[in-house]
Amino acid sequence: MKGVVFTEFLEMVEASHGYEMVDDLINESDLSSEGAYTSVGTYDHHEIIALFSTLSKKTTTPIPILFRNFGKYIFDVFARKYTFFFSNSDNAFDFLESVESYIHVEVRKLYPDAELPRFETKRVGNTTLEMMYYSNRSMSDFAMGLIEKVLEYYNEDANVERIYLTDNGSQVQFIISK
Amino acid sequence: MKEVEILKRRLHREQIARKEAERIVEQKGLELYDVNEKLLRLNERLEQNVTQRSIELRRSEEKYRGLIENMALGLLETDLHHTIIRAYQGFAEMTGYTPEELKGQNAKQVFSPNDSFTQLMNLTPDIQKNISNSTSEVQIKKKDGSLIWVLISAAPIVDKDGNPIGSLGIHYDITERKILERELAKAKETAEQAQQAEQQFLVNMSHEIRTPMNAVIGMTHLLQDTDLTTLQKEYIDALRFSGDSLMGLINNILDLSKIEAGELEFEEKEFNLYQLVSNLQRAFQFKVNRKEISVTLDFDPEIENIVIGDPTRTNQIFTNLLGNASKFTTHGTIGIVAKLLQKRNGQYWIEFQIHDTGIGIPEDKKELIFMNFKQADAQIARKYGGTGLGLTIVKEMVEFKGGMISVESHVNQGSNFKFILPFIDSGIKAVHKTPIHHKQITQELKEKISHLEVLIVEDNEMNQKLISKILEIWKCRYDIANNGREALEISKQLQYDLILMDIHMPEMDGVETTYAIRTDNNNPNQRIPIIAMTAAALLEEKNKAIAAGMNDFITKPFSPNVLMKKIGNILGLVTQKTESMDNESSSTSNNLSIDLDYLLDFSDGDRNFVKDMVNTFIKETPISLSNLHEAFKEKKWEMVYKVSHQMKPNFMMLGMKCQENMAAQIEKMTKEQDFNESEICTLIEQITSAAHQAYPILKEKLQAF
Repeated sequence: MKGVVFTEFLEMVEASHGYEMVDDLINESDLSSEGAYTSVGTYDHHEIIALFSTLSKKTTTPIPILFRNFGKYIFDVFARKYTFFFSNSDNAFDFLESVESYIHVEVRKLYPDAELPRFETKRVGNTTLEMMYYSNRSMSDFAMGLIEKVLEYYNEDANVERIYLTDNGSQVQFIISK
Repeated sequence: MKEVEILKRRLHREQIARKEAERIVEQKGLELYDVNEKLLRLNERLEQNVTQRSIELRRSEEKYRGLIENMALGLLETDLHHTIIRAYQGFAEMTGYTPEELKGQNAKQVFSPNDSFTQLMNLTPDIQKNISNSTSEVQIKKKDGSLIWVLISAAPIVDKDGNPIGSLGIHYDITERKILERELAKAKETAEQAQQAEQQFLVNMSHEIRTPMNAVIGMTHLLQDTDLTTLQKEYIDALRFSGDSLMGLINNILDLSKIEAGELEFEEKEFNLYQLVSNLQRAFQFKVNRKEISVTLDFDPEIENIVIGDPTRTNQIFTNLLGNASKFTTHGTIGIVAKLLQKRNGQYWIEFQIHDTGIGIPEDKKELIFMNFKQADAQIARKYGGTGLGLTIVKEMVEFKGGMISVESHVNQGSNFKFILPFIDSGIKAVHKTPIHHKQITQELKEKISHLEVLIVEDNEMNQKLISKILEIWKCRYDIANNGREALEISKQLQYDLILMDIHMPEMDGVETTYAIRTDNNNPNQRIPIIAMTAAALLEEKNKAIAAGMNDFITKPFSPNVLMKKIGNILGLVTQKTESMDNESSSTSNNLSIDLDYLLDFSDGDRNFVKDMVNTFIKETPISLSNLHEAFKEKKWEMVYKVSHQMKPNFMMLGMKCQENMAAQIEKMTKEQDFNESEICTLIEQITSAAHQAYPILKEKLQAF
């Protein structure tokens, strides 16, 4: 998993709970990297799961909510850092469609080793977008937070329904309807 | 304190993270550097390649341009309206212009010397439309007005969509070649004229030689009829023999020169092939009778019709081959075989064989014998005589008719000459006829001919004497005209029954004279038969004579009998009677009649040949008869059969009809083994007594011959 996810996560924790919480998470999560992350590095994705678990215990907040919130948080980071990905789309559906067809393509060029989820999109009429999520990481909550933030970014109001197609959450269908 | 610990750990983490980040950044930087370097090198290589290609392209273009300019080819690009877009240096040099002068000009107007060029130019759009190439030879006009011949190959120029936008003409100056061609044609014509002149010379020479030879041979004929001592007769015989040989040689040379000039002529007339071949068989059987040779004939009955071809040439081929066979064979068999190979498109393709049991031809000489003046061995000429022309002529004649000739031979075993000839099938069934009874006809003719009035037109004094002598013997009345002009004058005043006309005469030749007589309505001889006398035996000449209105021709030298027959036929003085053999085969009465006309007829009046045959008969018959007697006494019936079979044609040759029939009876009875001895004994006795009676008569005839 890309280092940016770790650095942004720890930034978020530091901003809301202070660095002491960050220090605790690192000390208590048994990380092979010992918590020394750089955004340009690549790290074992088990570490992020471990960090989220520790945070969940310490804050008594369920992991899905943490992921969803983190999704919302990191969207702002992306929107700030990679503005050019947003200039091609002027509405949420167009942008969501471009995630697989454009953004992921470009990311892979820059980081050939990046392990990204796969999306399939399908428009149903003018007001609904079906978006399939495939990933062994089963991080559809993270995706949920991002989707919600996209709608917010384009100032669009829509209902996001989520249907789990597998028990482990590796295949999920989002139905986004305005 | 706790806060300090946390800070320390944070610092430591950030230090590690920074180092890690720096490491990654440097690594990425290096990767980038590498990639950049690779890109640079790639770019350099690309530029190098492009430069290289450009140089190669330029060189290739220069090479082809140089090549085209050096090849003396003139290239000219024009648009669809013949306006010159570009004239290449080569074309400019060819036409005497500079490329700049030509650019923008209309090619049709600038170079057009005549219509053919304009026509070609008008065709150009078609070439362009068809997107194909064309080549033509035309004349074009140079800047200085002179004309040159060029070979033009035009190809369309098309745009990227394949639409024609003009044409590219490649011009090659062929003026030199054209001049050469014309000179060559002229040279060929000259050579042909020379060859023709040579041919004419040969024909003239042969004519010139034949005319005096005619007189020599004719005079010896007359001389023989006078009272001569034995010695004088011998001299005359030798003279005759040499004269005949010389004529034969001249005829061969004339034939050969005709063959070489490609003017060998073949007549096409109906004749009975079986008759011709069986006559040859009898004649050669007679000729070789002094040797122990039997001449056999195996004629394919499938050849049942009269054929159309040249009997004289066919006879010539056979005579040559049979002459060789009898010359080189001392004993055994000479066989004539005629076999039908196939009947196709109204033609008989017949394979003939002349085989013998003679000395044979060595393997390595087989090719040689068909060549001019070549014999298998130089010693052959000394021992057997001959010029080596015979087989060459035979081969040429056979091949001329589309046939072929080959020889199989083994030394001391014999030779077999095979040749294939085509004849036209007349569709008329052949009837085997016996010869005409000349003796009666001759008596009848002589009487009739003696009342004739004849005009002889002949410039040669010797020939005049010869013909007038013959006519005197025949008790005819005659006048002599020394040339055509004289003949024309005389013929206007007096009416004749017959005109004998030489062909080659100064002032006015025989053909012209005949034409003048035939077209003059006031000439009393306008419809009188004219017989041409010619020494040159060219078919073309004979045709000319017939076309001018002559009725027939006779080749000099001729025997009186042949002339008499000709006259008889033309004036309708005889009706040709023919009788089949069967009608007389029952006759066994021992009548003795001798008739040499068959031999004369056969040899076309060759008295030497007849004499030769008669002498052979007188010499050989007693031997045959004593053989016959002996065989009969010892009851060797096979031998009796063989001897009688051999003797039969000999009697036939001399017109000894009864004896021929008796020999045939003996032959038949002994073959079928159905006879009583006394019958055969009687027949043999009758033949023997007839033969004894015949000898003095024959000798007497020879004396008077």
